[in-house]
Amino acid sequence: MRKRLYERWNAFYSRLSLRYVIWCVFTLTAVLGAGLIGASFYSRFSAQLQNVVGKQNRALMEQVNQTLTSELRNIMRISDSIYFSILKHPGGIPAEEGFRILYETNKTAVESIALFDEDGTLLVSAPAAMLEKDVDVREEKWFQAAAGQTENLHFSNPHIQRLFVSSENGYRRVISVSRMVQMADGDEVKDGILLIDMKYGQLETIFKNVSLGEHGYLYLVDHEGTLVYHPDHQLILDGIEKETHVEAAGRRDGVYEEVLDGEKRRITVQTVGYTGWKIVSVIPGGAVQLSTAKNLLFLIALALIFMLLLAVINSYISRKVTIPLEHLESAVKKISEGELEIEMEERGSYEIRRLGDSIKKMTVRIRELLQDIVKEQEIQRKNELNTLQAQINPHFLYNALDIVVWMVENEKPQDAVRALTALARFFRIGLSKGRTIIPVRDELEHVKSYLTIQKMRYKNKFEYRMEAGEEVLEMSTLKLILQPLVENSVAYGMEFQDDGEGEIVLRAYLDGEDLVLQVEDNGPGILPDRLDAIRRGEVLASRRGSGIGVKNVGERVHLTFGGSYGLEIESEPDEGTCITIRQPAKVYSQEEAQ
Amino acid sequence: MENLRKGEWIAASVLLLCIAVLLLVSSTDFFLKEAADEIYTIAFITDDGEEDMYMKFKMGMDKAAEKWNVDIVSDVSEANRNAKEQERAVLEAVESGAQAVIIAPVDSRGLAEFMEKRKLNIPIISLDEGVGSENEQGTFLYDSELAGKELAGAVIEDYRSGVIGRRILLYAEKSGKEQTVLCMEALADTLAAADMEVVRKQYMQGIPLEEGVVVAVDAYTLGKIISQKELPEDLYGVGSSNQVIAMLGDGKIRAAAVGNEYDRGYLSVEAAVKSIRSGIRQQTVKLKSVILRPEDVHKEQYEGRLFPIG
Repeated sequence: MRKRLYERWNAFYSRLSLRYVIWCVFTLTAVLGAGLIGASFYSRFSAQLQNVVGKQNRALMEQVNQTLTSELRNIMRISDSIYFSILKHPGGIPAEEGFRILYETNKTAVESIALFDEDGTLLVSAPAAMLEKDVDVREEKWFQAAAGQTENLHFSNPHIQRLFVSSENGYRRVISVSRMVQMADGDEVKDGILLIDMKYGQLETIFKNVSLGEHGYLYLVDHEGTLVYHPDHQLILDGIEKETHVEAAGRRDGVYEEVLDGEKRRITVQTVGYTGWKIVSVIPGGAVQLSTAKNLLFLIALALIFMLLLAVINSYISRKVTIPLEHLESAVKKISEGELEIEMEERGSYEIRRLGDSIKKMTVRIRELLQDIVKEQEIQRKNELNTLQAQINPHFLYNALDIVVWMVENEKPQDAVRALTALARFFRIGLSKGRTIIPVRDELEHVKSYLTIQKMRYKNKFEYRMEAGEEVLEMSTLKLILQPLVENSVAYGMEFQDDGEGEIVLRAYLDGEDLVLQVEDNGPGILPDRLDAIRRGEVLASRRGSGIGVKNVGERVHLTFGGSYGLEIESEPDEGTCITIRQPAKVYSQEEAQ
Repeated sequence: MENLRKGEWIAASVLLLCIAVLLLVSSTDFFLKEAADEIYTIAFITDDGEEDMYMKFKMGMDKAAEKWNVDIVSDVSEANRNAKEQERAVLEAVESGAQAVIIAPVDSRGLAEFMEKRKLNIPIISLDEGVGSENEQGTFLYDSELAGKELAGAVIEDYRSGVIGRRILLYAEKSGKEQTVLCMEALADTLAAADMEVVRKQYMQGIPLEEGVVVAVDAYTLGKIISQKELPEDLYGVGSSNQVIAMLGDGKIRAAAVGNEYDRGYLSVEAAVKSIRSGIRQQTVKLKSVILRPEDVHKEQYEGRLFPIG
């Protein structure tokens, strides 16, 4: 499985261009790095934001706490003033007057002030009011909390105050602050309960004026978990909303994370002095986060812009790196196709320049090697030609000398002279100052000298004629290419002819761009099997020779003029043989011959 | 740039388009609006028959308005006891830009026809009685049948204790609202089953009440009776106003079926907002009344219901 995956990956990877790989790797690395840095920054920034908001909340809570404490102290001061300045100094200000003055001075915060004896009888109240007829204050919680605990102040939970007769239909919600007091009554000291009803609205104002963001809020809870103030107090009482006030009442001062109805919240608890109440601030989890839908979309847009910029920059870098390599690759491809004369731009980094330079040097070296090889082949070819020519000359010399010997033996000195003159002319042309290319005129002259000798040898058994226009005589051809063919015609075709019946025709003419040289005889022809063997290039020895003459001529034409030129043999038994040489038609020039 | 391939051009163009769309969406309000920014306008149409009961209802509405970012436009008028006047008020509210209407319809069927005819396609939150139209998105009413049965139970209890007589006068207003009828029927049936003499009466202002145990079947009637100079000796009724609570506390009303007006106000606005926001259709909500005696008025457990915290 792993191997297959690895193979697949390799197959995929091998299809990718270097530029694309560099681009992908760079972009991926940069995006990953940027993502990590972004996430790290986001996390740190969020945490810092949370801290800042937390600090602000605590500062705000501190402020609320101070304001609330100040309000409570004010009530406590009123209570102390009544107790220590009025009730404990019977000779001082009359109680009714003192109560009235204090009420009037603080009536924005105070609903009523009242003094009861230990039996619950109303002694003094401000504003002046009568108790409701069915009310027994001793059953009230604030009364019971204060009774028996001298000088301690007790703060009740908010409740509807129904002690006094009122003509209004509305209801008054108050927080009752009660304490047990001792009053001088003549010589006696009596216990009583002092009640100051603090307006609940005062408390509400303190909390309502505080803003903790869009969804944050503050609430106040007593030590038993009963709500004192909550913006949704009524909804919580009616079960429409939920709150964790009971748990909060049990918490120490500090910051806590909690979940309510699946929503994360951060709550901060702070205790209020004197009362044991706790101020609780609630910040829903989403309120401090940056992850609103629009913020997230904006961040995604920024990330995409960043990615696009990276992609463009990486594309530029990868192109910069790979273009010289692509040029090198293209150059190497051309070199591999045989094109060695290429221009290579010098660009790219140090290593790539070095590589390019090395390839350039390598090309020069290959070129030099190829030239050496061509030279060597040239030399080799010349050597082969020389060897071939060397094979031809002894062969002919032997035959010619054989004729002269025969003439001398038969006392025909005139003929011997003629033969030797022809032989001399033959060799003069054969030498041609070492040139291998000669004019057609010389080659025909050379063959004519040869045929003169052979005609003498074969006692005029054959005739020959030459058909060559003036236009071909100055064309260039290979030296000694007709003589071996004529030699074959004489050797195989003329021996069995009656006197004068043999005929050899030499033709030289132009065929389009080509020069055609032809040797035709009316001899017995060549048997098909032998003809096929000769055409295949096989050297077949016979009693008249080694058979290499015709093959040599063919190879020389091939080597000199290329594969498309050469030699063609047509023969019909008892009809004769015609050998055609085809070569490019070119006017002879001394320089070229050299 | 000229060397980029066709695929790369397409990818870059798509990416640029995405960026442009994302920036447009995140930086403007054309496509995505922050829900908290929207202020909803909701009309509240009612009569002023039970002013201080309406005050508790208004407290609940105000709380919901604060929470849900609602601007409540109240049309509180005695004229709204008339069906035609109510229709006019609804039309005016819609023309003034109200996105929902909270109403206690006088003629629910007539109101539904009117809205259909005028093509007033906004949510209606109905109090007391369902409108029965496509626009109706919630109905908040008291379980009047249950309230009637329980109030009858209190009357029967007093009768059996020898506190009151056997002749029970059931007073109700003229309108014949569905909830009033249900309460009346439940009271009458339960009392009759207890072998009591039941007399159904229509309350008419200025006409003295007959002798006997008086039961005010609806809040309007109870409000009118307790505002008279002379109160019947044995009075029961349905209502939640501060005056009713005060009278109950004083023992001038022997027992009352008291609803939670604060919650009704809050829930009706909440239903209207949900309906505007997402078309959520609220089911009919039946709120329970409690039967309170004079001694219950200052019990802590009923304090929230009787004296809601604003």
